[in-house]
Order: sequence, then structure tokens, then C-alpha cells
Amino acid sequence: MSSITGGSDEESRHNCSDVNSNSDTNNDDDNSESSVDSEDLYGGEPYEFDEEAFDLLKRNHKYAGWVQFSGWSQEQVDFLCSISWRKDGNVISSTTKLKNLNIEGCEDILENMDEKKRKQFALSAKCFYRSIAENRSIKILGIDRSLLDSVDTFSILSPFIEQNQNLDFLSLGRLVLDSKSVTLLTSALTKCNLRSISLERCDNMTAEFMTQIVNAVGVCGIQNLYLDKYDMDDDVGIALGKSLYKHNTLKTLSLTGEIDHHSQIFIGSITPVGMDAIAVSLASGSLEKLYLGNTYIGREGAAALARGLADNSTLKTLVLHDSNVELEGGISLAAALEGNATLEELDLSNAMFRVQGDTILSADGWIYFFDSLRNCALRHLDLRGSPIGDENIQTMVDSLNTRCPLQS
Amino acid sequence: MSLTKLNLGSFDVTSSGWITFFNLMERPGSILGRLVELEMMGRSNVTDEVLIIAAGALVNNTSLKQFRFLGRDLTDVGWSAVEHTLCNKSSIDSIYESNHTLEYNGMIMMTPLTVTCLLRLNEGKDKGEVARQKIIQYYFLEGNGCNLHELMKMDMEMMPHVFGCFGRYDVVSREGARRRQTAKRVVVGLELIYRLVRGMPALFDPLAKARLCKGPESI
Repeated sequence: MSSITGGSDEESRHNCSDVNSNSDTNNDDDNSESSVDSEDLYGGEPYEFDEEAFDLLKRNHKYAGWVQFSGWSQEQVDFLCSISWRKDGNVISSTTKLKNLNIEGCEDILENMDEKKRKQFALSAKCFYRSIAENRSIKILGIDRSLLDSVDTFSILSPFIEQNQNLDFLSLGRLVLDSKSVTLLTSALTKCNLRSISLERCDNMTAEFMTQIVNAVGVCGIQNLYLDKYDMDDDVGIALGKSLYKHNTLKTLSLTGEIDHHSQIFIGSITPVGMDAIAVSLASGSLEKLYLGNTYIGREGAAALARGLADNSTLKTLVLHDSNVELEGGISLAAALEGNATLEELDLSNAMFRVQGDTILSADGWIYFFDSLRNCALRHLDLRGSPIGDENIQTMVDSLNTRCPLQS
Repeated sequence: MSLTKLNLGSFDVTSSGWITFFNLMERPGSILGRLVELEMMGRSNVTDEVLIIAAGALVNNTSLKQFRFLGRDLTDVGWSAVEHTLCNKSSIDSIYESNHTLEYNGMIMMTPLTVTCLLRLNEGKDKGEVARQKIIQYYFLEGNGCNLHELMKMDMEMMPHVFGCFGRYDVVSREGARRRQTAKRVVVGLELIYRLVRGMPALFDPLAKARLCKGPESI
């Protein structure tokens, strides 16, 4: 059994209960852990933070590799309050098996609590975070809607970020940023050993904070930066672009948005000016993957991106699905890729859709689109949802075959 | 470098458009013929008629491993064409020359069991072994052994290989059934050998064997 995640996996649960019934098995063979695939840290299902998970953590059992606390579950909130963290906090701080810890708060977590319970919860949450801060085995820490405010969160977790050499991926979502919390975070980042960081949909992301954060990311050599679900105005976009310009270690940048399918509203947008600044940084950087899926950049943003791509020789993957680049933007991008020898994957699915007033792209349009990809290195082309039309199928295939020899 | 993965699936392409697409795919030297993955999800209008043309285009294709699509009103007519492409049962040669490349993909909705089995079989890395298994299963077994007479025409030197192949098929079938935890009939290889021995008693008759060893003049 190689899974360390357990969770709802009945076999894991069964095996765990077998192990739990035998006190001699508390000290797990480290060799058995070495067979654990690191991908299990991302896949499978986590153990919910409950008595069973806590018991596994106490036993330092390998199946407690991935534990999740969900603020949406009243039972878990009650459980967090019921633990004597001063006494039992060392369960988390001392375990060497916990690799992936997710903490998911809830907007109205305190709403239904009386004053006494709120104080008790805040105290428990602080002790909970302090226990985490002393842990040195966690590789992935995810906090979405922190149980504490951002200043308290970073005050407590800074030593953990700085000193836990195993920490590989830090994911923070929906925090409210202010100057003190950003200073604490960036100070910790400059000394950390992280490879990836995600700051998703944090409130009050100003140009100044963006600059501080991205610069700190550059100092510590983080390779993967996820800044998903932001509506970036000109200033924030320019700040991001200028800061990225100095980076020479960043491999992945994600500026992915999200779309509310009911209201068709994008959560995630970049202005043409901001996109232009980001695109300029492409020429100087080391970026290999750029994710802009579901982000509203529009045809102007696509044109700006195209200008940046013309001088880029590092990007291998460009994802623009559902990004409203429209037909014109798609053609701009294709034109920019003419002769590009590095881009292998281009995802334009549902991005070149028709807008009011546009018609299906003409045969000439498709000839131009595919001709522009002449001699490029594309291996994967995603055009789902593109307005191709029956009459353009022949043109498309002919272009691929004769006009646009995508293979060398 | 070459384009190996193409994702299409448009709201504007009808079955007529896709028929054009697969006809073009069949053309010698077409880049579409070198694709490894083709996805046509969304309202891709893959009807029986399209599937028949697609199946025809894939007969001699040794590149495409994954073909994901959503069908529209597909019936046995369309799926039979796919089955025929994956295993043309008219002769041993035709099975050998069938498509052993296209693999099972869970995104093909409502795939009939016969097609699923063939696609699963194609996942074997040794394509020679895949062809052998198809020949045993779909040529010799499906006809209740009536096609065993084909073996009688073979050179005697080939017989050890035939027995070895049938024996190996038995092991493969048992192992496959054990992994899938199914209670399907698995004693097929040994059963074939038994039928073969009964069909060729001279091969095991000591007198007949001696005559064979001495050459035709002794007969």
C-alpha cells in the first residue's frame, strides 16, 4: 500500500485500524515511507482533521501524510476547540509524517459563536498555528481563508516559512493584505526554501504590495508563482510586469481566473496596459509556462501578449482558454508565433469565440492563422470551441498539411 | 518536432465537416495521420456516418492512440465499423493487419463492450502479441474452433510455436481475468490445444510420427 493519503479510501482506513489496534506498530519503518509517491501528496483524498487523523498524528503514522481542516464543517471547528493545544499541540509540531496540511477557513465561521466561544476559538487557532510553525516535515501548506487575520497568521508562521527546509509549496488564499502582513510575508519569503507559492484572490492587492511580493519571490528563487483570481488594474499589472522583468529563475506564472457560469462574470482580469507590462517581461525572463485561462484579457491584451511573444525564446506552454481573446486576438498570437522554436503547447480553447458582430472566420482568416504557425514547434494545439465551420475544415487541414508544416 | 495532439470540437462543424476531416486524414502524408491524440469533445456531431468514415481512416493508422469524442445518436452500425477496424475477422492476415494502436479511453461514452475489449487489448506494448491474442480470441475461439483447420495447413516446424502461443495466451488470459477479478472463461489456450490435438491425431500417433520422420517415400 503506497498511498499515504488515506482519507475516504476504505482500504487505507481499514489498514489504519489494523495498525492502530497494534501498539507495536507505532514506529513505522521509514523504508516503507520511501515507497510513497510524492504525487500522492496532491492526489487522493486527505484525512479530515478529526479524532482519527489526530490519533494517526499522535502515532506519527505514515497515513497521516495529508490532513485537512475545513472550517465549513462545524464538527471540525468544535474539534479544534476541544483540543487542549497547550498540552497536545506537540502532536503536530513533532510529527515527521505530516507532509501536506490544508486549512480551509470559512467566512462566517465566527458568526454563530457567542463571545466566550469566539475567544476560545481564537486561542485554539493561535495555538494550532503555533504547533504548525514548529513542524519541520510539512512540504505543502495550504491556507484558504485563514482562521486568524493576516498579521497574526504571518507573525506566527514566519519562522515556519523561513526555517522549514522541507517546505516546498505555500498556498495562501483570500487573505486581507495590509502593509504589516505583507512586510512579514516578504521578509519570510526572502529567507525561505520554497519552490512554489500561490497567493490566490487576496483582498487589497495594491501595486506596492505586488511589487514587494514579486521581488521577494525573486530573491529566494521561487520557480512557480500562482497569482490567480485577481482583477488587476493598470498599476497592479505594471507593478507585476516590472517586478517580473528582474526574475531569472521563474519557470511558471499562473494568472488564471475563474468564471461564474451562472452570471458569466470573470473573476480575474488584466488590463491591456498591465498585459503589455507583463508581456515585456517575457523577453528577458526564464518563464516556461504562462497560464492565463479564464482571465479576461480581451483582444487588446492578446495583441500586447503577442508583442511580448515575438521576442521570447523560453516559453513552452501558453494557456489562454476562455480568455476572450476573440478571433482577432487569436490571429495576433498566431502571427507572433511565426518561426517560434520553443512554444510546444498552445491552448486557445473557447477563447476565439464569436462576439456580436463577428462572423465565422473566413477561409482566408484560417489560412492566415495556420500560415502564421509556419515552422513553429507546436506539438499540442487546442482549438476547441473555435468558430471553424464546415466550409473551413478543408482549408484548415490543407494549411496544416502544406502551408504550415508544423513538423520538421 | 511535430503536432501530436489536436483538440477540436466546435459548435459550427456538422457531421458533414467531420466527414471531410476524416477523409483528409486518410490521405497519404497527411499531418492528421501522424496525430497521437485527437479530441473532439463538445457538440462534435459524431454520428454513425462520421464514425464509419473515421473508422475507415484509422484502418492503416499506426499513430493515433487516443480519440476522444462525444457521439450523437450512435448505433451498432457505427460501432461495428470501429470494431471492424480494430479487428477485421475475415482472415488471420486481416486481423494481423488491423489497427492495434488505438487505445481505450474512458471519455468515449457508451462504448460497446466488444469495442472496449479490443481497445483494452490494444494497450499492450508488444503489438505482435496484441495481434496474436486477437487472432486466437477472435479467429480461433469465436468460431467454436471451426477455424482450427487453418492450422492443419501449416508446416510441421510451426507447430511448437503454435502450441507455445496458445499456452501463453492461456497464461495471459488467466492473469488478465485475475486482475479484473472477473469470472470469465479463461481456460481458452489449453482448450484450443486440446481441440488441435483431436483435430490432428496423426501428429501424435507414434506410427504416423515415424512415417513423417522417414520422409514421404515411407508413406
